[in-house]
Amino acid sequence: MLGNEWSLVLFTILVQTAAGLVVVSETARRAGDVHSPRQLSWQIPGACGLAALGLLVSLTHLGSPQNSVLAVANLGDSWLSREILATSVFFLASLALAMVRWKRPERSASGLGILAACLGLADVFVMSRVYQLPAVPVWNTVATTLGFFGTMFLTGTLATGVLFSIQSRQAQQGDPQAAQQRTRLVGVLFVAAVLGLALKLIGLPLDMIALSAADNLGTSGVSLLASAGTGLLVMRLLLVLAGAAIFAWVAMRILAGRSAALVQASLVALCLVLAGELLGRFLFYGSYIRIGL
Amino acid sequence: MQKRLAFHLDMNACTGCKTCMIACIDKNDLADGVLYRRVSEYTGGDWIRNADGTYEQNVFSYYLSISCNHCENPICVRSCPTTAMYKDENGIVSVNPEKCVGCRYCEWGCPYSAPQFNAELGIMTKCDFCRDYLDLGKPPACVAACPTRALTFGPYQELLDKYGQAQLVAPLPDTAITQPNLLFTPSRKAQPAGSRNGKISNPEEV
Repeated sequence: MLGNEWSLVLFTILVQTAAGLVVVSETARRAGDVHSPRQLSWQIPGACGLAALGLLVSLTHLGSPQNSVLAVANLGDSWLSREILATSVFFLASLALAMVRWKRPERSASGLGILAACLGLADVFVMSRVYQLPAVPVWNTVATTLGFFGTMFLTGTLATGVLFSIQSRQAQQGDPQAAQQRTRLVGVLFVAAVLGLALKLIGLPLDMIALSAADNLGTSGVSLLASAGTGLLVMRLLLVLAGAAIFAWVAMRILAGRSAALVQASLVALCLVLAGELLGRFLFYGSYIRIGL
Repeated sequence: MQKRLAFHLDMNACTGCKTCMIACIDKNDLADGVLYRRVSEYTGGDWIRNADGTYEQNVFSYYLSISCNHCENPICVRSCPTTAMYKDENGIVSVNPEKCVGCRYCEWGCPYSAPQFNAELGIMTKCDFCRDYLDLGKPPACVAACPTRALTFGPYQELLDKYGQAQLVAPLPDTAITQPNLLFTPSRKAQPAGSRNGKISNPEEV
């Protein structure tokens, strides 16, 4: 078992949420044919803020942060080096995208948008590879990758949705063209959230198989969970499912044309999912069990 | 200095006295909780019912004195993001304190617990085969201290010719992961690798 890994819990969730914000909002922007600078324009700056915060938090994990510039010195062999590079490059691309759209709001900069989204996806993949160590069977499965992408889609979609609903609060309900566009945007969010939830649920049985690996003290991930974590595991699932359900309800209301935006409800959904994901990531680090001596 | 040095442990001779651990702590002036060499006690067994209704036991217990094995394919060196962890021209794996960022990623991946975090220094530390002693023609502190001569060292090929390649014993990990420079002579009741019959009975010591 690992000790206090809060800095890594926060780092991974913040960066994955940031990647989700970029991937989902850029997809929604293209699907909804959004050109107005007053729509979907807070997501990219938001992603930059979260990624920057995540990178700062990650420094608190280090024993000698003054050497952190050296951490990209082993790109040829170390997935950790690649993770730091991938996260930095993703952050810089998102920052560039935010700057371009802020300076020249009439430009959609869709090329840069696609690049930032691809870098976000690549970053989440690289992050998941960091944990696939041969000596750590609990982590060394595709479930780690599925789980990280699940987090990215779930939290990223809900964060996109919250910012979207705040920004479109004053939207006119009567305007049929705006309503049609809103339907398409919310449709993208709905699909992305379902995808995130599906990835989480596919990963669950794989997680359980991996957790059954025991260490040489006779401790397995399952026994760790059984002693302290069953309640936490159930709570984590309920939080995510409750958040997703509220989000689905909000999306349905908007799709049915009964409301333009439901800021509070979508905020509650995001908070529930984030709480569930934080708990889930805490359990992920808590289930660290290594083979050998 | 000789290249590709390895340790050899004769499990029949090891009494589990842990003098090697103490000599290592002393030589390296290790901080509390930092151990370059650990002696794990692997224990198990049960009562077995015979056909005639009598019972006999099959208990076992043996010691594994393990430090860094200065692996041929060291996962710590591959994992290290800063290249602070390196394998020198003689094959000794050690940490460059000037470069180490203290991320502890090497610790996650090593199946022998060789990289040890020194919280006070904020960096990883580990066994360097007593490189300074070797330069003086002396054996490493752990080997010199062993009262039963259970722990020895030498060039890998020499030890291999002398003792042969033994079957892996529990709970040592698959050698394919890192190709450790570790040879041993198993004791009579040593359990095969992958066995779930025993467990480490002194976790608080290692």
